[in-house]
Amino acid sequence: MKTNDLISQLVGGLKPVAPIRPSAWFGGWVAVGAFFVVGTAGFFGVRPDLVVAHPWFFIESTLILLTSGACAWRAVKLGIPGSKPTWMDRLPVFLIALWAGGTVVRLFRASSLVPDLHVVCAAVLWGVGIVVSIPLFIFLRRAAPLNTAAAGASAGLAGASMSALSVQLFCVNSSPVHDLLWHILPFLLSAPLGLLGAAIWVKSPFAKSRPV
Amino acid sequence: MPIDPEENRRFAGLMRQAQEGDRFAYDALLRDIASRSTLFLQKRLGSAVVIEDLVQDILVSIHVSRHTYDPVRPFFPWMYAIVRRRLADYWRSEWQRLKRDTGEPDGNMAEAAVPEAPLSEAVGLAIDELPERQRTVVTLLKVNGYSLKEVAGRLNMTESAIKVTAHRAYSALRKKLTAMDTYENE
Repeated sequence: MKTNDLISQLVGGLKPVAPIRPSAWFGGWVAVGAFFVVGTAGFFGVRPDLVVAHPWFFIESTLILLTSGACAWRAVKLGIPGSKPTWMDRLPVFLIALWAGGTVVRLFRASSLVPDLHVVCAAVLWGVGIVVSIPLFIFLRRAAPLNTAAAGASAGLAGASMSALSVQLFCVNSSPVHDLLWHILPFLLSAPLGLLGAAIWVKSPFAKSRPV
Repeated sequence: MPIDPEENRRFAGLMRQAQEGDRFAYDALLRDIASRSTLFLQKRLGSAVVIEDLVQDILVSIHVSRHTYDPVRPFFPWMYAIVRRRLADYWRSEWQRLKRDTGEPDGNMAEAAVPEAPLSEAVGLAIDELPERQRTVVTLLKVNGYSLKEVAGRLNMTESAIKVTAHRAYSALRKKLTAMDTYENE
């Protein structure tokens, strides 16, 4: 088949399409995330000592919120071919390093390093995280990510960090060992989970724009 | 590659019209993309046949992902990201083919000659796992050796639809075979 013939056929089959709006998808994801953070914290009950919590709690919560937004934005950006690289692309790694690094530093001051068994935090983090990351995976499936692995990992981290924020609001255990084991580790593991999810869902031959 | 802002605006305008369903604009856009892609590929590849194949792949990719172009953004970074991706896919498949043809660098020739049968079996298995329509198109095109036109006639589809379906099937096959390759090498 000659290129000119292919062009004629593609033109002949042209139908109007609505351009995908990354900013609108990001805004929608923020709304979904906020709904689930409030809903989860409301369901489990906000920790009673929130008002008198240690300053690190508020710094950590802010870092988690920023991580969530940065990862989601990165995932959305990776869905569009040819997006210009900016410093924002490195922001998720920087924020995650601050969050995890801050908690590791707290370990040195901790009175006890005995780990507790609190699977609920990890279970909620993953459960809510999966639900919250669904809009991002739908976006990636509709979009055309050139680096599906990175896009999937970012989407997984975005969902998990948003749900980590909700866990943060109801979990009364503030020990650094607990935070590392049941909040940060499950959060980090959501990156390979997101990568796997993208391999199954986004790279499926049924996906809308798979040739890219 | 330097980008002429005026050209960029013109391409962006044509794509915006194409997204709204304007066939004249789309025809002009695809022809311009084809000539730009050809120039881009001529600097990197020698074979005119390979270049034409790749240009067609690029046009199909652009067609299928045209909804991902945001009209407020520059057009060329979007377009060349797709062009480079198709070129990288080509190099990857060439590398895989070279590896298959020559065997592992430290392997002996007898072992290198064997992969024909397992590869065919792997390809067969991968084709079997494709969705029905993709499987039919690939089988008719590559196993039975029918032309695009003949397959289109048999399946009552347009040639471009066959090309799009085949393109998706090849992407899926590439993924499956790469996964098998990785698994076997581990």
